[in-house]
Amino acid sequence: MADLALLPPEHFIPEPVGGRTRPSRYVDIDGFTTIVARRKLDERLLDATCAVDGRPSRFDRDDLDLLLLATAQRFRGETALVRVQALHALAQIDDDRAVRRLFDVATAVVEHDSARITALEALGERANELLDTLAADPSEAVAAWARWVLAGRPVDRREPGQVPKDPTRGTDRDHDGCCCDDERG
Amino acid sequence: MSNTSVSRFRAVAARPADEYAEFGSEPFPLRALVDVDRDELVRQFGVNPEVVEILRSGRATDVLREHPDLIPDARLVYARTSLEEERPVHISRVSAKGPIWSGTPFTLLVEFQNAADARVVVASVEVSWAGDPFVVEAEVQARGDDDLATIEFDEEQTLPVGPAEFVVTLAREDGATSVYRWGAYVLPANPLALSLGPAGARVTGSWSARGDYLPASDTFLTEVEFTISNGDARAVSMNRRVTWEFWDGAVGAGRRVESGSFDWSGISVSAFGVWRGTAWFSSPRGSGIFDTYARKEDMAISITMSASDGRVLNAQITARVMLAYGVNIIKVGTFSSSEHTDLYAAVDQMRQIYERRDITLRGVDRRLIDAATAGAYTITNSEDEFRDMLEDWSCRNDFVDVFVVQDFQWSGFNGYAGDIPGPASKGGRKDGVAVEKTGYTDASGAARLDVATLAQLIGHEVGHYLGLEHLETTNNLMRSNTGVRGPDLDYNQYRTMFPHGYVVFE
Repeated sequence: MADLALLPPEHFIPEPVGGRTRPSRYVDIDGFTTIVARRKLDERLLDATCAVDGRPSRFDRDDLDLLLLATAQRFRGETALVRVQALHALAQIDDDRAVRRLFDVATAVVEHDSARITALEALGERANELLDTLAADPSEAVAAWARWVLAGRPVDRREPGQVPKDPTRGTDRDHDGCCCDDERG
Repeated sequence: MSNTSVSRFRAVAARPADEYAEFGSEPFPLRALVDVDRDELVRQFGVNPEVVEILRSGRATDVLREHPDLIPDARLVYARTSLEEERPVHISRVSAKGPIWSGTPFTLLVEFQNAADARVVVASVEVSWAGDPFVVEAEVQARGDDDLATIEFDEEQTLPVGPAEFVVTLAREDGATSVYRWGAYVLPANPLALSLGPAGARVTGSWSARGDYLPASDTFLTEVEFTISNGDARAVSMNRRVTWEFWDGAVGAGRRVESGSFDWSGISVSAFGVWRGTAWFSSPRGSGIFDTYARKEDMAISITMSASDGRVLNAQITARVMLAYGVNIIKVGTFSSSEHTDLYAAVDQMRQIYERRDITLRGVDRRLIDAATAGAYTITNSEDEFRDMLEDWSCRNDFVDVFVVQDFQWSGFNGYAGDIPGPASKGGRKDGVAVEKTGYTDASGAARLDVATLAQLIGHEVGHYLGLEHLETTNNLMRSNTGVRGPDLDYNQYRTMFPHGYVVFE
């Protein structure tokens, strides 16, 4: 435990050339109500999503069109979190289009496992008709999820145990300066 | 006389100045599946031509279940083509109109495809650099399927030499959007510059190198990254002699602690290019640098190099001992090899976020609970289940346990911490944090994780564990909204984390 008596003072932070700030410049989008609504939707999807003090937003039929656009946005990692949150949100809306989108994502073997499992959980009991098929899904994660649900969602509590070491060796050793970098020392 | 020596140095791969972001978006055009040129896909990627027809058939899921060997090819085609009902807007590439020079206005070019009748009307760019982030927006006048938006950065929005990151968002009038992350190195207008950074230095705005105490050799190691940038249209060769000085106090005004030089041959900086290298200074007990670090005092490092044409380059950086904590990264369930790589890249990026506030990682322990053993814990469904997982599993060391689960299905949350602050002991229902991995499929069809988002997600929950509450200051790591977080931690937050039992200062 660090001794508070050793707390270093606030360090001087060098000023970038031209100062620390630059003025922002915005376009007036008040005339584009759907764009304004989409920005608000993305903000709501990501607001209070940390479970510490979190109260995620509620969504309804008024949000459906934009949520469908957000869940179709599958081409970039930068929007992966918004997409997953939008799939969660569709679960709150009782509408055929929402259910169809969730079924499409859940069953598509070309989709990422995270998106599929999110869609399956969002479907709730509506996903039961898929379970037998999904138990043999080409995706190991989806198949394991389906078998677990078919087994009644067991939670096998255990004696407290040590988490095993990860034997995986990837191509991730080249973190200059990282403490897992074997160049150190 | 110096007891410190440069124990090793090496050049490291430098990305081109006009594609500098290590985790930037991949440039690729998006085509409609219905009219994509199948032969071109086969030529370009070697995919089985059958998968295009299978995806077009409307029975792809059933057919691919029968032929799982075709799934990797199908994922690639699916990642590069849109379905008729999706009608996306898609940024295919972002670039600058020529090199970006320091202190000089510049223009970003945004190439995109729009598959709908609705118009793309606004381009918005969020800029991360050494100072506070800012936003530049522009109206888009485009109307075609394949189009180009331009965004002007004027005299007031010029940037200094160094890395800058641009997150570009296009907004269509029906609410559809497309996002693209692009990075550039702002080249010196003068036109040659040397910059120093901490080890790794991938996060913009990092300014301190750290002194690491290595018990095995009883030395302090200081790793410094060198970046030489060339804003000229011809390559530059550097002389081999590198001179270094460590100062207690300001360079030239304080006390010179140690100094020396070493020879680094073969340094050449390409036209409009960037060269990077890393050097390790090893300071044994008894050396001036060791003693200064041991007293927890800051030093200023000054490096001088020269070009073969006689131009002299100098740069400085602060060096200091940092606070440190360790993390056990616990993968819960199945991770592909590329997801594994992305996860540890995110951990490394999180380290750099904390190093901006003089806190580093003293260890990363890699752990795994495989899917069969993890069972229900691969998905976090409730607070009880989260705490059951903490109670059932832990790592018996003095690092923070970070569980990375497949998914949070608990009220739309994506992360949680056992307590604020979390206990500095193991056992019980509060000793760890959890985040969801948030995956996507990249343009090659591979399962990936969003490194930038995951770095902030893990850093945020660890911040709670070390004692931080939510703080809604612009660009702060502890903002409650995942979409607006940045890498900032203020001094009060540093002071809050300082006494945590898992934080050491040695």
